[in-house]
Amino acid sequence: MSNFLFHFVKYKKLYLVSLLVTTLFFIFFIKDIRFSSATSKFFVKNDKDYSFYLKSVKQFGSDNSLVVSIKGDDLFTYNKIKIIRDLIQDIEKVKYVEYVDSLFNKQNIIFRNGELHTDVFIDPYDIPKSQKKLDQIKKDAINNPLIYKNLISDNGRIILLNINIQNFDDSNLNTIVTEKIRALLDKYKDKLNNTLLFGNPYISEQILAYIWHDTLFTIPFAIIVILLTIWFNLKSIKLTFIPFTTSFITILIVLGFMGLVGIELSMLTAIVPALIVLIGTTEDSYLVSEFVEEKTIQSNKDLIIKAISKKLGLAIILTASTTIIGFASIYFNKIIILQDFAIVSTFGLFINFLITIIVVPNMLHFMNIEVSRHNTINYVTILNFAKKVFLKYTKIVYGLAFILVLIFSSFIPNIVLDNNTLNYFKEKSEVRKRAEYFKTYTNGIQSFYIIAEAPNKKAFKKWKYLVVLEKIEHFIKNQTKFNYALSIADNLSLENQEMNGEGDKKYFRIPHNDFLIAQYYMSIHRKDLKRYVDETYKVAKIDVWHNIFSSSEFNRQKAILEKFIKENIDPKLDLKIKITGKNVLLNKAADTISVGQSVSILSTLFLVFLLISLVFKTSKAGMVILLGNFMPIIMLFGLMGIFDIPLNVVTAIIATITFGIVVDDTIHLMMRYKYEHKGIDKTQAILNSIQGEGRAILLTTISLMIGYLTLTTSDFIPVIQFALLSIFVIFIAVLSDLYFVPSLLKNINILKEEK
Amino acid sequence: MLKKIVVSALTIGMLFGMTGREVMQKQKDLQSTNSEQSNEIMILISEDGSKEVREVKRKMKKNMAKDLTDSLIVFVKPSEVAGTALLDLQINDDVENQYLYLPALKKLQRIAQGSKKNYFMGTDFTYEDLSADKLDNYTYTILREEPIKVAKSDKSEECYVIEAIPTEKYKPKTNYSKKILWVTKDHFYTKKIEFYGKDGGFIKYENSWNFINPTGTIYRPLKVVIINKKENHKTLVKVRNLKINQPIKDKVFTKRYLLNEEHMIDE
Repeated sequence: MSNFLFHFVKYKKLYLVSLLVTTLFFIFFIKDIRFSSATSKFFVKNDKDYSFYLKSVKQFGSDNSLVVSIKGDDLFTYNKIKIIRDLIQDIEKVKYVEYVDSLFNKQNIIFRNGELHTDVFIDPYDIPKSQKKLDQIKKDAINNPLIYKNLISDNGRIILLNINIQNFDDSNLNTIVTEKIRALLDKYKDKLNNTLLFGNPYISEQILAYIWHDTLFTIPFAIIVILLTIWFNLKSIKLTFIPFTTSFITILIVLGFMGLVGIELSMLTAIVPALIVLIGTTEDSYLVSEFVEEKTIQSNKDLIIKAISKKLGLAIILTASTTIIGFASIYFNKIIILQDFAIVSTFGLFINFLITIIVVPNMLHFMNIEVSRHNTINYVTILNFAKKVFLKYTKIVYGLAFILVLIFSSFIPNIVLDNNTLNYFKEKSEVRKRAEYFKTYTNGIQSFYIIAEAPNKKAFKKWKYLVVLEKIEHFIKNQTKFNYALSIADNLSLENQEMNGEGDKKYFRIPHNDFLIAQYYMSIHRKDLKRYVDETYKVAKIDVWHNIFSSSEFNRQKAILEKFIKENIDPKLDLKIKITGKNVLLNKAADTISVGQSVSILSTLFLVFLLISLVFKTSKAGMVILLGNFMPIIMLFGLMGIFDIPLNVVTAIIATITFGIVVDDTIHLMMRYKYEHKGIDKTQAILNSIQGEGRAILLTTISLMIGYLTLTTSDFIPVIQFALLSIFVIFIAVLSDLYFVPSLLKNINILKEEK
Repeated sequence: MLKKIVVSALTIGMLFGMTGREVMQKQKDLQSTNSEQSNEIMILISEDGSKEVREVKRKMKKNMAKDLTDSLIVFVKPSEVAGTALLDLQINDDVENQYLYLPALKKLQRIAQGSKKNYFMGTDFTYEDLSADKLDNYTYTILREEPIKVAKSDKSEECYVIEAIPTEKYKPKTNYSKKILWVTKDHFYTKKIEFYGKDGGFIKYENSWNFINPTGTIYRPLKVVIINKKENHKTLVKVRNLKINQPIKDKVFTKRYLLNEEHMIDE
């Protein structure tokens, strides 16, 4: 191990040429990289419920829709209606648009003046010129339970268009459609000046724009800031060039790898390049710091590299391993976006480690670097204080650590789960503003399906099955926080109201007569039926709308609904009732976050414990590592509980990632202690370790904190939370390394010769 | 022989010079009947191939003097919809009253004029398609003449391809901006119709085949299919027990006939 790094200098041609070839190979695939904001990325991988959802979508049609709100006091005038008609016809021509639901194609089933009207609310080619007729249409639409708050607001001042888009989960195609429809709204801006677009494809488009922003601005900004921090600490452009080189090559290879294996740039994988620079440069910093240290002692570069190798060889292998373990363990999460992140980041860190051990020793060896101790920042004051604390206040440190852990851990139960992509946008963002608007004027901006499957064909032509739908809908509207529900039962009830009750609302119910139901069904065309009941009348669907943004709350409400269904639907009917939808899958995935996180953090803790115990040949060393880094993790979760920061796909990985990172400093300290301990007193060895590694620890910590701070310029709330919480963990970890770990080393014998 | 050649030449000459309107008038002259009745099996075929079968009885009677047609469609099967009926009474050239009878409600409801553009009872026919077309509602132009293949045969029939555009007066009452008809040159029956929406887009087409010649110049198809491209849906109609020009009582085309449910026991 003593000549480990020198090996790469000795065989530089072989390694550098191999690295060049590998880099060029991966560069070739960068062109294949794709961006993605697909909702399915947030689902559980290979989820059986996802297959069921896809089957339902195939059966009842796509739920991928955009909503256009057209607001105005004079909407129900001949001229405005004509303009809206033209707009709809233009929208219908947009590729991938399947249909547009509006007052122009929805039947107005109504009994009036002794006649049964079944025509559409507004015939697009025979728009009434009479204001009286238009006012009547408005009134009819508001009073129609199938239309109310779906295609018209309760005051009639907003007309809504539901644009159904082919059900692809491809964010790029969703973006194309959204952009085309936005362009059409712009085209009509002079005539319809108050239009607003919303819906999943719109949100997907916005997420994609944010990923672009992060990729093009936040991440390069983070990289520049990290390099500036290194330069500020080392005051050497040549030395700063070293981490820049390793990071740059790694990023090229990682991007090529993503293109090669088909992992897309998502909200999470987009931050991998920044993380690689952040974490990768810590190893570089250690090597460079040691180089600076050795250069003051000797000038022979071969000997310097050998000395660095002797001191740091094993340490950097260990620290790289623990960091990689931390990232790799994220793969234990079942959510696709997290697994993608785990694969890309693990690969990236592994490559970065290889590049570091190949490139850094060679650059240090062959670049003519002149260093001066005076150029580096002097951390003497901080380190002296650490030494003083170590010598005098060990008990206070233990007590303080215990109290902090106790206080923070009491807030952990407050953490809530969240996997709602809307919550990833800032409160003042355009997306959230629009969400608020549509929450007010529609039945809800989130939706899901309830699928009821009967044992026999034609079941949903029978009263006893249809009233189940009616019963569930009634419960949803009155007993849950979900807002509205609609099924074939409503169509039939409306027919009963108009054809049997001649408009009397008392008749808005399923008639207890299977013959009449069959006769009502006959007057509904398959195109209108297919959204609610399958061709065999065996499977029926209820659409449910709501405005619940929290995954925890959604799952609670869903459980209430499921309990009602279980307890109140006659088991003799043998109905299989299942709740599905994108919304359901997203919130279900939220439930797996905590389990995935637990598995991932426990496996990381165990592997790090095992690794360190093996290297030091005692489990006590593993204990020191865990105890030294336990506090920051507990305080992280406590802080999330205190500030109501939810556990989402991003915040869930902080603990594992930061543990993998902060444990590096502890390892360096322990390895240095092992190195220093030979022949001298234990206390002095610890003091020498603080002195020897303290500067590098502080340098890497400051670099990491500043680097993470730049990620707060991201547009995504979870990325900002990720950055701030990571800074907090890193800060607590450095305090632990300087003030707590030395005390642990003093009280726990981790070396053989101490026994 | 010479006489035959002269008559043929005259006929050809006459036909060669026919206008669209003349072809349609000729069709009306040759294909009109005093009355018709038949049983029809309607098969509704969804996008995924699933089928729904209905059986109806159709009756039609024409007042030749006034050139007005009354018709009645009664559902026979499936049993739960048996007795559901649509009565269409033509009052004059402009007014046509349609009534829907639901036996489970025992109510006869008049269907509003504007609602006739909707699909009839889940089929791909609109109420408008089931009404008798008045020649004056359209202007007709022969687009071309072309052969059309006879189903399940190598033969083909020569057709006039005629574009029918609704008149300004009729436009608000129809769903279509135009129809294109393939009318055979020999017997003047319609083999195919294409329907175009008001936006100019193609909606559906109707193909008829297995034509029979029950009497005189009358030809009727035993099979008709409407393929609705817009809705991805098909309706196949098989005609049985076709009776032409057999007497039908006037009372059949009255509201009372339905309200007394005589249509449900009628042979």
